[in-house]
Amino acid sequence: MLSVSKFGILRRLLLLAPVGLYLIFFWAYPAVRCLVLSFTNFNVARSSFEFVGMDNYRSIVCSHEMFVPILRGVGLAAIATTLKCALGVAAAFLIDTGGRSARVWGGMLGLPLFLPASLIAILWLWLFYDVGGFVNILFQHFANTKTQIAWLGSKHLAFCVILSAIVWRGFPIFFFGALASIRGISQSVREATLVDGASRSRFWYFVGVPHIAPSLLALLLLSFVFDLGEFESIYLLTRGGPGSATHTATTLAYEIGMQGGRIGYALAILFFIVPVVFCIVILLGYMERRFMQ
Amino acid sequence: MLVVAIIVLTKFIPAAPPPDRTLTVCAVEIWSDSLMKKFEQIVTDWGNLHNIKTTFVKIPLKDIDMKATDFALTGTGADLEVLPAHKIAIYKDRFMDLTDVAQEIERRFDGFYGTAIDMTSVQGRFYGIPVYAWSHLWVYDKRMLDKHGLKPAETYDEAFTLAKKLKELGEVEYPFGIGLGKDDDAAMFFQALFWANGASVFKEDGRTIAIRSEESKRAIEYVVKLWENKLVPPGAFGWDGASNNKNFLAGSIAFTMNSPTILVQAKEQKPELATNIIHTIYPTGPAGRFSYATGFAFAASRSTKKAQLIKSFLDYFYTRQNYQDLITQGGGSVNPWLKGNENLKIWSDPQLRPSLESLQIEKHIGWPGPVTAAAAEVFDRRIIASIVNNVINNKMSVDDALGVAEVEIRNILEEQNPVAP
Repeated sequence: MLSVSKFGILRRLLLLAPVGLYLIFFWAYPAVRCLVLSFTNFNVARSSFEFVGMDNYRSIVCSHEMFVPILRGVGLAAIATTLKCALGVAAAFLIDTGGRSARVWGGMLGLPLFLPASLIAILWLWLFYDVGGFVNILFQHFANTKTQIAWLGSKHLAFCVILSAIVWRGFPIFFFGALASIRGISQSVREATLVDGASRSRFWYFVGVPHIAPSLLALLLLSFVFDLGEFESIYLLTRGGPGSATHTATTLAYEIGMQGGRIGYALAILFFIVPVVFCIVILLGYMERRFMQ
Repeated sequence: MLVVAIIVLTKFIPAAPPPDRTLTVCAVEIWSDSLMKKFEQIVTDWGNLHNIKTTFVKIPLKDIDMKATDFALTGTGADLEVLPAHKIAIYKDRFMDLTDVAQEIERRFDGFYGTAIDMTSVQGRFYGIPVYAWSHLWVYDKRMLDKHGLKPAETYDEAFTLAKKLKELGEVEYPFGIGLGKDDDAAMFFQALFWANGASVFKEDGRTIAIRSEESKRAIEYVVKLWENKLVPPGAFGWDGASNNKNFLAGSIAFTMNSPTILVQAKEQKPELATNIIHTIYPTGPAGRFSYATGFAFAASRSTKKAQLIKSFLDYFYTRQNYQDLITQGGGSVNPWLKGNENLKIWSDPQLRPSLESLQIEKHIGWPGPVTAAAAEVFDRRIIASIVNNVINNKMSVDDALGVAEVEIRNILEEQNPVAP
């Protein structure tokens, strides 16, 4: 007969078993298999494949066309996450200090959360088409000109358009996260700071921000990881163009893997992002620990 | 209670037919609803005839690359799939040998067109059965031409002159309506332009890179000249597949390169424009007249257990009646890849006749070499478009841009390591 403690452990294991099996079959196995394939020359066009060691990774590092999109994706994720955080927190502070009507408007800020990324990309296409795009129509009307701005045809503007789509879609997460944390500041603390003579800005700086920082750090990490994997906005808006000016690891891997059939190489491009994610996790964890101290 | 409920429920849930009495057919969604309905009807009729439960699935065009790769890799999702034809030759190791079926079909008709054979067979063995092709034509707004007594261009130089004249006459700001980026129409235009100038990505062996040549330089300089003379819309680098359609329907360009979809859309949205659309085949360049072949073919997984069902279905699909009805229902949006269908009534329409004529000048991916994975990847990744982008946006010289492209193509070739068939 099992002892009470062993029975408790067994019961816990049984309860966790479904989740564990799910993680093994639908996360761990695919992840490990993809990692293994990234060290091969697996190609849809060939019936057999071989282990090639670090050749794929070496080729990526040595190739400007492969390595730059990876860096670009990291940059895009960093900028998008920063902007989302700044906008979301600013909106949360504004809504909190506003009245009841501000809260109604605040609820509407959550609209992008309900829209799929692909729909937002199509909406952005409609806004930024060179001919007949809403933004160009407004521009031509107010500037009294017939000039069309090539929003998606210029490499810098195309990057900004993609960034704006990602930020618009993602800032509500930071908004609601920050707002929930702000609402957690008790009324007595708020009144005490006001009684002590602190201005509103000093209240937010010394009380508000430290209060919401821990939850923001977690959101920053999640947002960065999601933005690293951003695909729909980029592919639907520009397909990585003009040229390869807006390619990131995900769109490049899609081109090489799905269109070129070079699955092993494409997986190596994607796994290049993994060390970046680890570094960010370590950095944010360090920041959180310092902050808690 | 639970056991009783399960037993009761199973009595009401119909049993699935055994796997060998089912067939799933997938086809890429063409913009002709009537063609897709006819396709589905053929599938259903065959199923009823042979007491087979059939399922017809439409694949959105934007998903076709992913679906084709997935089907080649796993063989799942469908028993028989209509894929881009060039994928057949590239992924032949994963597809069922259908040579006997192809030979029977060729015997019934007058054979397949040469491009269809090149894209679906390797060393005489068919790994797919050609179905139909899209034509890529030059589409003109006749009203803009007639107003100034102008005619569609016969050569690329005439096209440049025509565009310049229309701009000078103030007819339209940017007459030459083609994207310069990653859209499909731009890729097909660039490829045809290259061939017309005697340029190509690979030589006849499919392994020797030929991109860096005077002919390629001439082709790129043609596009640069269009840009510098402001004949192409400024947003052309950001165009997608629908942009030229929209611009043409809006009247902001005079001509473009497209399949007959613009005509189909104009008939619905702008009937007056529809009667004024002229289609022509691609103009001539110094090396001849060429256009890019986009075709589709049936393929089945090599590991399929439904070989007999698939062959039976193909035998039914390729009866003269069914095939010609399918092409007719397409209303000119697809070309038959089987000879002997040139006298169908739809081709008597002067607006659609060029679509059939373009079959004579079409070439496949990788031409003059064979269809290879490297050639397909160079096309799909828009390497030629990136040359244009490097020259115009990144201010490289044409020689340098061709050099960069050559390095990229060499990398692709080394990774793909094609074996010439």
